[in-house]
Amino acid sequence: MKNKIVIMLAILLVVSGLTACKTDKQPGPLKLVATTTMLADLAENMGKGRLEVTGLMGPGVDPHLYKAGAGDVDLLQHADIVLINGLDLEGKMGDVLESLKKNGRKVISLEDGLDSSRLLRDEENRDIFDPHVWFDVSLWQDAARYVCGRLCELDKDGENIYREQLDLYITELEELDDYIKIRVAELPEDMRVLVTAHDAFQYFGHAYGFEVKGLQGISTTTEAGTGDMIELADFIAERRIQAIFIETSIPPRNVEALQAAVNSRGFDVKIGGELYSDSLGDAQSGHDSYIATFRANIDTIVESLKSEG
Amino acid sequence: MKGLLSLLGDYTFRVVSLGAVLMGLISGLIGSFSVLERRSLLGDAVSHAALPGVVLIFLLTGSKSTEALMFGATLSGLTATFMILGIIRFSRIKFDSALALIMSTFFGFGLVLLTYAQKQPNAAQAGLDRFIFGQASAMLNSDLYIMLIAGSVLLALTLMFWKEIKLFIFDREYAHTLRFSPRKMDILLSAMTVTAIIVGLQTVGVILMSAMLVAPAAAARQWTNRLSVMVVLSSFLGGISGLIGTLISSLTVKIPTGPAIVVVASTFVIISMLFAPGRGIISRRWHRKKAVKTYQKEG
Amino acid sequence: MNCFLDILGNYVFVNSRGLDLNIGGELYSGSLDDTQSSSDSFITTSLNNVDNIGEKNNEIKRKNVLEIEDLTVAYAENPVLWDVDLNIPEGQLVAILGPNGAGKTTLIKSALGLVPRISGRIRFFPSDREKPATDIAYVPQSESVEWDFPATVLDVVLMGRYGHLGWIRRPRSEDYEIARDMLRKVGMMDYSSRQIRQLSGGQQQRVFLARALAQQADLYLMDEPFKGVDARTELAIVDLLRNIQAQGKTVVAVHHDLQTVKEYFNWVVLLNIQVIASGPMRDTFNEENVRLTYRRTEPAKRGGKNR
Repeated sequence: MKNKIVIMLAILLVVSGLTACKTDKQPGPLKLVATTTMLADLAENMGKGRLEVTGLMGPGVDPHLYKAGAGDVDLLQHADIVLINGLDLEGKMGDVLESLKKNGRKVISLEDGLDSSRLLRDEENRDIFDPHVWFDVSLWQDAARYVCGRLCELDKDGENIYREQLDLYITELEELDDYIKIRVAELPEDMRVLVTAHDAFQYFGHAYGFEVKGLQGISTTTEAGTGDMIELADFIAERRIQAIFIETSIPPRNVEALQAAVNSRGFDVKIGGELYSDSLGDAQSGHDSYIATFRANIDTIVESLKSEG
Repeated sequence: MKGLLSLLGDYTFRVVSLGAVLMGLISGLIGSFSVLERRSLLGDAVSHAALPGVVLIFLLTGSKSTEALMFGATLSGLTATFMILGIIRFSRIKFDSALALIMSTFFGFGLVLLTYAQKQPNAAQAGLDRFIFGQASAMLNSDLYIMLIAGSVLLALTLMFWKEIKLFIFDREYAHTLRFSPRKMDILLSAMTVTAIIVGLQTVGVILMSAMLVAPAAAARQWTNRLSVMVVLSSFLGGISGLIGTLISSLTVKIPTGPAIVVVASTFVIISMLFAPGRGIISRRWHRKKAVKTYQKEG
Repeated sequence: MNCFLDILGNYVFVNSRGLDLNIGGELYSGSLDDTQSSSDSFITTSLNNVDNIGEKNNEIKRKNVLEIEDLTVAYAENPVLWDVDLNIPEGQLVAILGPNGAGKTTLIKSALGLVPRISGRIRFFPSDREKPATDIAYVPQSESVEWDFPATVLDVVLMGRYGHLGWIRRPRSEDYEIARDMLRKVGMMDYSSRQIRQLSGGQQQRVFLARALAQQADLYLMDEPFKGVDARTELAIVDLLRNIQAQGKTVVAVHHDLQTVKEYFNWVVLLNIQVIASGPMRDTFNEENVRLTYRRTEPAKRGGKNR
């Protein structure tokens, strides 16, 4: 009986050893798992042909509330590299990501790479950073550089590829930045006010000179009070802001209620359309890359705010 | 900080407070029955059990309209309730165990469906789970109509079946011998409860709804020994909680409305527990002391 | 096997006195009809000796108000009632007597359909199919309900009228009148607007009786009407029961007390999972039957299978 077990174990060892050898000998593309759609897009751009990128969250998923399933944990554990946003964006996945780091997995977190002096803080709690860093294109360039640096460290053979693609991507981001600035310039300064369902757009406002108002705090888990609603409605009516915006990852009810409240004040505010906030668009909409999404956002914002102006 | 007067004229305040009052009235009314039936935890179960219905309806129809989601929530809430009642009837499992079993099964199933929905390459699933978490301040006019209709139906049913409900809750078996079918009564009462909960879900959300089903009724029970008075008082306390909660949330910023309502309702419970004549803690203490004193004198 | 003999012995014992007792096996079913006529005449003579029997009895006793055939009830495989056959004749004060766990309460509840049965047929008023179900009034054990319920005494008694009203209809003033009358009858009129929680055990029992009376039924099924009741109330209730009987109605009550059963009732069903004996008090309530009913071993549990 004992012998049998020993033999079985031996076979198992040999087999597993063989398979291990196999993977070592034939290094297919490295597997990278990114949490949000923005990060997946970033990695995709940096590691074309070198990385096999999987995004954990699909389009439209709210990363503040996303909980990792067993399949996700499996995916994360079998990834060569894990790319996360950090800064508490993946609020409900904290434990899973923490244990990945503890177990020595290769985790790249934007949180570690960004200059904290450039980060915005939560208005109420100064200890908390605002995690929506992708809304500032220059900050996103920093993020790209950081990710590239880490990738080079972790995968030395690919260094040239990464560097090359980073340069390309940075240029594309520059173009995007220019495009945004041109479009924003179409709006008179006093009309640069962005009202949305939650405070995701602070970085955007900071970078491009918008006053940003969110109904909820920077996380979607908090609930707006009636007082917040009234205050915001007053603000919109007073400033005669043309449009308010729905976000893809938040139900439109809140903004609809806000619109009704503003309308009751005798000012006709329209809903300017959907902005992508915590996730990129889906393939169907054609806005499934960071650049396309951001272009769509700025077009939506500028068009709705300026019309009738 | 806004003046009270200007607040009364404010659109948002009017809509939200009206909705909160309606929700309070409804949950106070139905809560009286749940509390007396000792089934107040049903609120918790049904509100959690609503999740799979919400997600399923979305997966099947692709619609995220309030009406469609409410329909799904009601269906799965009802299914869960009947399963709980079925388990008690046909097995030796007690109400609370059956409830825990069904609640966790349904909620778990809902989470599975939700995860599945999130994996779809479709950005429209966003915010499905928020349906059961409620957002009082985002109440719309259309919500008010739904609440008004649901409330009127529930009130009409209560008035119509007042005698049966009273008999059934007090002495189920005796009601059965009088040929009032317990199954029909179970269906009636649970359908009423589920409706009330689903209506309230939009306002205060899954966790607070169970509190709203218990608090006004428990407070009202302390003050009266008549079912009719209790039901009226409970609805009243529920409505007032809705009003005061909205007021508090409106006069300042950063106080969410749903939780504010529940805090007010809980305050009513605490006051009632302490000060109600006859059943209140203070009154009972006082009576006991008096009894001890007279006893000592005589002894 | 042992118990089988017991049952056989019982049957012979009872049958020799010509009683209408069915012990349930196909074995005897044929012979019962044969004994019917002789048993009738016997009951007549024996019943006349019993106290408190109205003169009408001679005609009434022919009819059964409740016939139970082959009734078996089990909770989780343990039989609580095993193959019970029982006829309750009209106009009697019937005591169901037996030790704890004999299935007395279950007998009443399963007859009313409150407890699911494995087998058995139950017929109320078999000779009068038109009779509505409201003609049966049930008095549950008083601890079976939550007395903390917000209701007054009158509210509860009024519930006795609900069966007559049916769904949705409200109690009318005559229903209130009847309810008040019944409260008067049980001596609880002064308490009519009292919250039911404030009542003593005896008062609660009286309220339940008043509620049953308000049904103005022909058959009363009572589960331990004397439980938790003081001596004075007990006598008052006995008076009430006799009153009901005097109107030609039937009372079946679960009873506990071997001392008083003879005094209060005139018909007895001795039950211990099976019916040990059933018949007029004078003939059925004897030492032998009581011993069989109350002995420690529970014959029916295993014995039933030997049939």
